[in-house]
Amino acid sequence: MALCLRLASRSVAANCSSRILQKSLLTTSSRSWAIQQYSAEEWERKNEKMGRPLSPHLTIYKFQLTSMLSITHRATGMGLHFGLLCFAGVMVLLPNSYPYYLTLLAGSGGGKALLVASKFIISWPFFFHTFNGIRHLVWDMGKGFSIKTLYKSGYAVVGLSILAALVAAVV
Amino acid sequence: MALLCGFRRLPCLQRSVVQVTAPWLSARAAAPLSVSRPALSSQLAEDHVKHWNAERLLTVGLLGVLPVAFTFPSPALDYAVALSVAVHSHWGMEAIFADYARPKRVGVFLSKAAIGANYFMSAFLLGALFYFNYTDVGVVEAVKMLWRA
Repeated sequence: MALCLRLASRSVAANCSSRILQKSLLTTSSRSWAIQQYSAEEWERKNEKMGRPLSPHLTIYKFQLTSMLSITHRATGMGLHFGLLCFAGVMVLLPNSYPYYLTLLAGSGGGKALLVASKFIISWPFFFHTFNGIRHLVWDMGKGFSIKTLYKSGYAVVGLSILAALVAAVV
Repeated sequence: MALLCGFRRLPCLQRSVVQVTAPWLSARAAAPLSVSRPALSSQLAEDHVKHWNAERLLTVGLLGVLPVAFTFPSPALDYAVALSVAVHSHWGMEAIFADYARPKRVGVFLSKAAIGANYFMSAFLLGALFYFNYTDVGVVEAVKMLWRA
């Protein structure tokens, strides 16, 4: 936009009758072509030194299905990893075997509810991460990037994962 | 004056403006100013292709081995599941640490320490899962028992 205005002013200046206006238009155009190139580090250091604030990003960007499912995919992956890590670590440290502790927890008061809850809590992140992972693999093949398909597959992943987790919890 | 009535022709107009009035500028404008660089100095653009392919291959392998291990239980498949899950989640967590624990943000030491801690946790996970497979019922049987309980 600015370039066009400068060009316009130049062509206007060429046809301009007023000598003073012509001189000012020409010198402004030729002076403003200077562009300084910084390296990435110089640019960042300069901004830090000047104390320039960063523009808002996460705080202002609209929540959309695409970004929410993406971060949930990452979060479920992280959750499954740390859950498995805790389970495996605890099983290394505890003296008795897994069946012993399972019968202990299942037989305790509120054991049935605990079992159903734990089955849902384990299943949903697993199914969500698996189904969304398949969605990712389809993208890696280069398919399904239109906005309609993204939203359709996204809603399908959410719906199927909740359904699968509910079925797994009561089975 | 003719410029103001041809707004839709703006992009090609800007190109010709730069080329006509300042040809030395158009060459510079073609090279983009980069403000990002790889998280680790070892992760160069050309190396990442093999890693990316390995990640996808392992993911597909994991998708295949899980139902097979549940349908035809065996110690070998227990270890295969444990190995696949440990490597898959290691690579996933590595991406998370590389994305968020950046040198610019947390300092060079913490960014390297995070990657090191991830290697330690994944090694521990692999060892603990193998230990569970060896001394206890095995990962597949453990899941089945939770569902049968």
